[in-house]
Amino acid sequence: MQAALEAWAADELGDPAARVEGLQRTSAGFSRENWEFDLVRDGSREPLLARRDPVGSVLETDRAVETAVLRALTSTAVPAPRVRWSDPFGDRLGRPTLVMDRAGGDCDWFVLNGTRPLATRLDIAHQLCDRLADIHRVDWRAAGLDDVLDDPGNEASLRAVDHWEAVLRGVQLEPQPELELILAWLRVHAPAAEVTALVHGDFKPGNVLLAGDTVSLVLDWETAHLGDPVEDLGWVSNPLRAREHRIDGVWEPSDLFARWSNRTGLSAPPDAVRWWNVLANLKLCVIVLTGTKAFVEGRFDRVHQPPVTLYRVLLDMVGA
Amino acid sequence: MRPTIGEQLAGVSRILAEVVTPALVDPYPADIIGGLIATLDAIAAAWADVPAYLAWDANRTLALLAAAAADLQDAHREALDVLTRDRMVDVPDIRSLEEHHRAARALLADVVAGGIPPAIDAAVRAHLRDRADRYPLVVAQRMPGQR
Repeated sequence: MQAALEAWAADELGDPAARVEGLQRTSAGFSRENWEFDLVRDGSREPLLARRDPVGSVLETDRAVETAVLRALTSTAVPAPRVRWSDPFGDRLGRPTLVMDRAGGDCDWFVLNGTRPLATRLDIAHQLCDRLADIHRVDWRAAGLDDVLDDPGNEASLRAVDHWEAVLRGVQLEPQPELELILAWLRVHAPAAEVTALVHGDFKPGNVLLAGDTVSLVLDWETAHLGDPVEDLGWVSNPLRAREHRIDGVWEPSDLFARWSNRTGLSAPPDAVRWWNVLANLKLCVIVLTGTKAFVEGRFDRVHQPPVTLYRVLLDMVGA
Repeated sequence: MRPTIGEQLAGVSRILAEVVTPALVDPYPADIIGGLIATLDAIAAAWADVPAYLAWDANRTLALLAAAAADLQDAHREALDVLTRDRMVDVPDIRSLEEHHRAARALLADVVAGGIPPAIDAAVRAHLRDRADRYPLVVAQRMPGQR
C-alpha cells in the first residue's frame, strides 16, 4: 500500500522523491477504507487521506461520480473536501480510490446531544441546517453536475424506489416480506418533487467536521445525486435517528423545516417528508443487507444482523 | 454437554475481550473486535431460542396464508400445500428448519408483493410486527462515536 501510494504521488507530482509517512487505516467509515498519511516532499508535510473502495461494504457507489461531484463543489459555497488525485478504476491501489486533503477538525455523530452548552449545540444545529440548505441551493447545471448525474425531474421519489429496490434484489440473501410491503406502500404514495436539487444522501453530524464549534466541512459525498431536496429532510428527520439530529424540545423537525424553508425558499410538505422518512429506513435496511451479504461472503469485517429494528419502525410508519 | 454451546461462545467472547483486545494497537482491528465480541455475546445469550423462533414464525406464516388459501394464486396455493404437508415437527433438525422457514417466508414475500388478500391483510401486518418484536438475536452494537 505504502509503495503504491508513493508511486502514485510521484507520478501525480512529477517528484520521485515524494514520500508517504505514517500510513494507517482508521476505524472511521463503514463504506470505504480510510487511510491517513502524510505526504512529505521538499521539506514540507501535507496531511492527506486515501479513501479506497473496500472488498466488501455496506454501499456500492462510483468513485468517478464522487470525484466529479467534489470537483464541481469547489466552485460553490458548500465546504467539501478537496480531491487531490482520483483513480476511479483501481489501477493504483487495486481498488478505486480518492486521495484528498485531510482537514483538521472533529467528527462527532452525537454532537447535538453532547456535552457542549445548549446554546452552542443549537448553534451547531443551525449551521448543519444552513449547510444542508446550501447544498440544495447549488446551481447544479452551472456546476456541470448534469454531465455526471441524471435529473429525475418530478419523479425523483419513484426513481429512488427503483434504485433501492434494484440494490435490494442484488444483495438480499433471503426473502423479506416486510420490504415487499414497504415497497408497495412507497409506490402507491410516492410524492412529486417540486424542484430538482443536489441531494447529499447521507447528511448527518457524523459526516461533517467541526473546527471548534464551527461546521467546517461536509464529508462523504458518495451517495450524492440529483433529486428531491426533501429526501435529505426525510433522512435528517428520521425518527429512528433522533439522537443524532434533534435536541429535545429545542431543535425538532418543525424547527429544521422552518429554517431550511426560509433559507431555500422551498417547502417541506409533511406527507412528502413522511414518505422520505420511510424511504430513508428502507435505504438503511438495504444498506444493512448489503453489509450482511458482504459479511457472509467473507468480504466485510463487520457482522450484520437482519434489520428487524428497522422493520419495526417501518411497519409502524406505514400503519401496519 | 459441557461446556455447552452457550458457555463456549461466552468463554470465547471473554477471552477476546480480556486477552486479545488489550493487545490491539491499531484502531481498525480494535474497533472491529468490539463488534465481534458483541455478536458473540448476543449469540451466546439467544442461540437456544432461535430454533423455536423459526418454527413459530414459519408455522404462523403458513397458518395465516391458509386462512386465505381460496384467495391465493394457484402457484401460491400449491406451494402452501407442500409446505403445510411438510410442516416441521422435528425442530432439532436445524438445517431443515432453516430451509422450511426460508420457504415459508419466500411464499409470504411473493404473496405480499402481489397484494395481500384482504381477508388476511391485517393479520399479516400484525404478524410481521410481532415477529420483529420477538426476534431473539439482539446485538448491543454501537455506532462510531456513540456513547
